[in-house]
Amino acid sequence: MATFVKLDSLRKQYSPPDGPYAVGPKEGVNLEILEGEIFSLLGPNGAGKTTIISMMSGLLTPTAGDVVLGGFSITKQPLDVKKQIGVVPQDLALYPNLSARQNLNLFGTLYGLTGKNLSKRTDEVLEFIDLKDRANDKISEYSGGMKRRVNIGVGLMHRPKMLFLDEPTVAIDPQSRRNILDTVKELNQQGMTVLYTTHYMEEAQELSNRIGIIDHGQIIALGTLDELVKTVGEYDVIRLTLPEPPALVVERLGAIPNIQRAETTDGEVRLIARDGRQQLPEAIRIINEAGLALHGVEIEEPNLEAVFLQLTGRALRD
Amino acid sequence: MLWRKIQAVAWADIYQAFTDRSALLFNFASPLAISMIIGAAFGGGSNDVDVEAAKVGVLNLDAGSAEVEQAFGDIYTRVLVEAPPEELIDFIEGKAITDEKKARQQVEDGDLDVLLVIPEDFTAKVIEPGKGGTLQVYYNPGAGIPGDVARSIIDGMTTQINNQNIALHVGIPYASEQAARNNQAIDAAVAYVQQASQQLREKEAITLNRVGVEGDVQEFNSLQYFGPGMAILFMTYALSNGAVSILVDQRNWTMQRIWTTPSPRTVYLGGKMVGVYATGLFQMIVLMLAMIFAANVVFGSGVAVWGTDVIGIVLVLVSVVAAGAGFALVIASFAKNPDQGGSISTLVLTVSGLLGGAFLPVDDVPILGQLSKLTLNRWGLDGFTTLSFDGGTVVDILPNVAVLLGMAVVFFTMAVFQFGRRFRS
Ligand SMILES: Nc1ncnc2c1ncn2[C@@H]1O[C@H](COP(=O)(O)OP(=O)(O)O)[C@@H](O)[C@H]1O
Ligand SMILES: [Mg+2]
Repeated sequence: MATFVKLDSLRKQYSPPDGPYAVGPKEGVNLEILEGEIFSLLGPNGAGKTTIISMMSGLLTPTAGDVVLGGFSITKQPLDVKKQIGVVPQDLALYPNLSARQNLNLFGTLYGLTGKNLSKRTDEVLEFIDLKDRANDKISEYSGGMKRRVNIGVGLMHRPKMLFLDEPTVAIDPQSRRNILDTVKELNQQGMTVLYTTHYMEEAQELSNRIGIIDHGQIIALGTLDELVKTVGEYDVIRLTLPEPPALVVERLGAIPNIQRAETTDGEVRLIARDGRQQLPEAIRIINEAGLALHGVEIEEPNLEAVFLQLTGRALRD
Repeated sequence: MLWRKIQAVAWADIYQAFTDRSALLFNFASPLAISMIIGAAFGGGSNDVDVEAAKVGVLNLDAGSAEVEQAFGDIYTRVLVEAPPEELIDFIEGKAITDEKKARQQVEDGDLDVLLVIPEDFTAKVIEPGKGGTLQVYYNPGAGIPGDVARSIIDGMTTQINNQNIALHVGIPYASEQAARNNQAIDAAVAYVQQASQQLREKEAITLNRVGVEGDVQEFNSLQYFGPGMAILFMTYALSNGAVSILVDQRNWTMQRIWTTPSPRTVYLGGKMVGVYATGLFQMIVLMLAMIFAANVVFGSGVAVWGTDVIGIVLVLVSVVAAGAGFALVIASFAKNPDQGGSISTLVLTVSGLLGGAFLPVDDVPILGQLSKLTLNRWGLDGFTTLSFDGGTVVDILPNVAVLLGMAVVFFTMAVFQFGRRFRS
């Protein structure tokens, strides 16, 4: 597949007083997104996902580096880049007192559509996001899931080659989330290149051709799901439900041979273990010896969570 | 294409401004109600109420002249005070005055509508070829119609005498009747005037010297004052909603989303400015029409709340809205967030309205009167009252229009600069 987007030494240094926080290491973020793929940026809150998307869509001027998209530079030819991208912001960027149709019309006009083209495309998009029958109701009267669909629909008005979706499933019900994930897949099958950011590893796992894991403003791992999981090797994650474990116990668990590290996160101790099943008896013995009550045990096959834990020593969800 | 996009952004604003019920109630109903209540409270809404008799004081110091038997000053005293003809009785309530200082105070206080002072050398000056007598007429501008009536009667008498069109016989027949019956001296005076006509024709013999006395402002036609005052104030409130919506758009990311579309960044701010301006203009026009309508319903007859000079009205209207839009945008551009923007705008705009005389006229208050000249409210309000109350024309309001447009240019420039600075990323 051909490269569609190239992030070239991209870096953003936020200046004080907002805090001296940099997105991108000193040498900047280098990344390629291929034509027709779904690329996910997976990382916790504050990792720098929105900052990267904002630079890619011309909202933020990079402190250093550039983004070349479809052959155009975002810093030098921003309008040419913007014609090819649809941006679905993390927040519901809609006018709540206007209807879905009015919102689509407004942004359609701003994307350069006029007259019959505009009204025809508005109808198509309403059909696609399944809101034809509520098209003339105010956005403020919609459910969270419906709002999210309109939020995506606005980004589709000009039939962009590429869609940026910034955490489109935050704070919605499971059914609406399912709907959005299916929508993203459908768009991708129609040939759209997708950049998808999330802090849910399940979403990245389900959707993506390739995944970039981002933390503290840096891409710390990059590849297909298989490639990433292989980097953790045969490591499993053992999750022990153990409220308030003493530090000493956690330390002893971590010292078991073949257990690479032990972490505590809210009521849980996670052990990253080579061949987890073999290590479990010894772990339970240590817990019993300490007189602690073990409420539950789970062994997870290697996944992105384990990759993140392995790379950062922290769980993704925090 | 660019203009179409700007229109689309502006339209979203205008549409939202006029579909928000609570905003509509606040923006339209409250100024209308407030100005009508004040209008009714102060009365004076209508121009054709029963006219009260004008209280006219006449201070006749005329010493006459050896050449005439009757001083001309006596003609005024006779007609206005001592023996007013029947036709005048309903309109004039004359009173002889002895103390000028006290009488002038009475004019100022509104106890007298007009004071006519006839100087000692009046007759002497009138009959002296090439000279001319001078009458002082003090009047209270707030005296309204009775004052106008009294002044026009004095005017008329003076014109008649000046024309010496056998004035006392033809021009003011009642006076001549009195004269014929009671006082031959007046006849003599008339005869003299006739005689001297050739010489007098060279120059108007009598000059009316009008001295306006600062009127008591309560006598304003109050709707003509508070109508525009309230309309401008609430127009600025409505404009500030539009201006602060820029900050709301920034918080909601609708602004950023517009920036991700293939449109220059000017489209957004341009659209907002057009939207804010159009909203203010529309609000103002609707309010103006509503006030005319309401005034007619409440006060019965056609009150020219805004005057009749349509071109002048339109000029003041477009310039006061421009200044208001610029002002609202400047305030918003310096606010931290929408909430702060909303409360600061309300505060600043209310103070500006207060200083500008929206609630009470402040022209004569020492420091406030000067400060009020810094507000667009004052310049707009003055513009409208110049056209309505003072019966001015386009020429009279050009200074107001110039000042308001100047404010608009300064404010818009500041707003563009400040928003540009904030949104740099
Ligand atoms: N305007 C800003 N000024 C200063 N720091 C910012 C600004 N925007 C984001 N940041 C910081 O940059 C980091 C990355 O933020 P963001 O890109 O929003 O992360 P994410 O989208 O992954 O949650 C965070 O630490 C955040 O505090
Ligand atoms: Mg984010």
